[in-house]
Amino acid sequence: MKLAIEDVYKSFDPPPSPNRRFVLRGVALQAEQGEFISLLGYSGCGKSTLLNLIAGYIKPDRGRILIDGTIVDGPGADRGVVFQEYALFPWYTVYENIAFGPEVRGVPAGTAREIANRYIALVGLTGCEHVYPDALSGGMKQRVGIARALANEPTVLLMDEPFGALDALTREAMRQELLRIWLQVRPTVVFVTHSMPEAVALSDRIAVMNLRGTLEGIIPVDLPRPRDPHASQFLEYVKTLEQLLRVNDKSSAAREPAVFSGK
Amino acid sequence: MQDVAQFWRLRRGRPVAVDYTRWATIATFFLGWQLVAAYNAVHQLFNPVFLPSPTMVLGAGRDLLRAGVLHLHLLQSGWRLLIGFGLGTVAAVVVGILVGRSRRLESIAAPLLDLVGPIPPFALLPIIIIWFGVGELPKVVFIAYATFLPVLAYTVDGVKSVNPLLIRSAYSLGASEMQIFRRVVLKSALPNIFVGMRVSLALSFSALVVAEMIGADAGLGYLIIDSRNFFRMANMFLAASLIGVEYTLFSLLLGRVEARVFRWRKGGYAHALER
Repeated sequence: MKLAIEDVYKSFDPPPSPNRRFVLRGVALQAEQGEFISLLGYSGCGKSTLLNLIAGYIKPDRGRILIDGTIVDGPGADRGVVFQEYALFPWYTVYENIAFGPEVRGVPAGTAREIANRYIALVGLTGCEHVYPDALSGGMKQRVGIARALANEPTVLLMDEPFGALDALTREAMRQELLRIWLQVRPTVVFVTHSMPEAVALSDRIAVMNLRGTLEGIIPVDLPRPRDPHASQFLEYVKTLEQLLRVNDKSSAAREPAVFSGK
Repeated sequence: MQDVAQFWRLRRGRPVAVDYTRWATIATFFLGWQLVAAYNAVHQLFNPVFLPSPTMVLGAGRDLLRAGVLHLHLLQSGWRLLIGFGLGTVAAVVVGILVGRSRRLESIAAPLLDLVGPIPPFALLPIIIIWFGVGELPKVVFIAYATFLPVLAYTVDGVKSVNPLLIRSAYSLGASEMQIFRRVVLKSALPNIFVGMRVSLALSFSALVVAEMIGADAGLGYLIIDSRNFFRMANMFLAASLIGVEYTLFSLLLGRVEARVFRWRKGGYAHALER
């Protein structure tokens, strides 16, 4: 297992309070090498929280997360992160942004340059190397974001609604781009989204999260890629997801206090 | 001249046409001054010694230059300012980064700054002179101190407003704490730091002049006091003007560094609409 999430609980209320509300309660999930997993759910269901836990930005109250068998303790270069807001360094050019990872990890300058150029070509940004992020469109910025994360050759690539800030047309194009890049590089991906068609189009498996902070179900998508979003089988999957999400919408209007409270 | 023009273009965000009004105003100012002084020299509306004409000021400059002392005063003041301003800025940026990233340090530093901050630096000059003697040290320390507080305030503000997502992404790219400082926090706070430096530059110059007026044997501030003792009005006007010239040069230099550092930076009012 490249990624193992074991019985993870997370609350943002401080530990002593008796009625801590838990964003995540006993989430467990595994991902194999090269697998594309989507986390799907309403906003507020804790999917970004789970991603932040994997990234190591926040710590679980209980349970643990393992990458390649090593427990996650803080952020690290083995988990590349792509943000919805891009989070590119505005004072660095496209090239400098993408070379950032290899450089800070102490890769020799020549190799770092070669890596950066390879990923610039991979995401189709050749010719834009010396442009500052400010001058790029949203789609282009996210290409930089993806290349920057991949340039470290991370064990797991974490994507937090990476296309959420893009318009519908660009979003569709970027979906296909991501698929092409993923098929070429084959990283293990955890992809947060609230779009059902997006999850079906991309994923090997879709983890559906509910507002109680648990997994509603894990749906494997058995369709050959590229997937036609108008095919009946595709729509069948979307319908299944819709039903799963509707059920839990009724059953959990509010997040009741958890049985488990702290330690 | 090219660079000066470019500097103004960057600052104002619109293309430079030759600004005739500007030069006309400046020419009129000196011409008017010359005329008033010349008229007064003849008709004695008030004691002509009080207001030397621009040509007399230039003449004073020529005399001092021939005597081989003018450039010494200029250099002396320039050096003092450069060292004092530089030390003050570096110290403020280092302290500012430390304070800006740690809540505990900030809670220690904030009340200290509230205590010391309201005291105008000039009030402390005699104390500094007693502490550090009458040599070069107290002047440089004094200028550095005058520079320090504003730069510190702006640096702390800049560090605190770093986008946390950028820090997260740097950590996830494998950056160490030191690298995050240099490559993210400092870079992000730099625009603020430059604003602080601009604010401080004026204060540093005031500090320079005051420090040189009290117990110095060279420098433009000393030249003013020395000229007063001998009632050489033209020399006093000359020294005051040269302080203005030095300030302008430093300010332009700062602007050039800024423009170079912030090539990546766009936006602001001037970029909102194409005109």
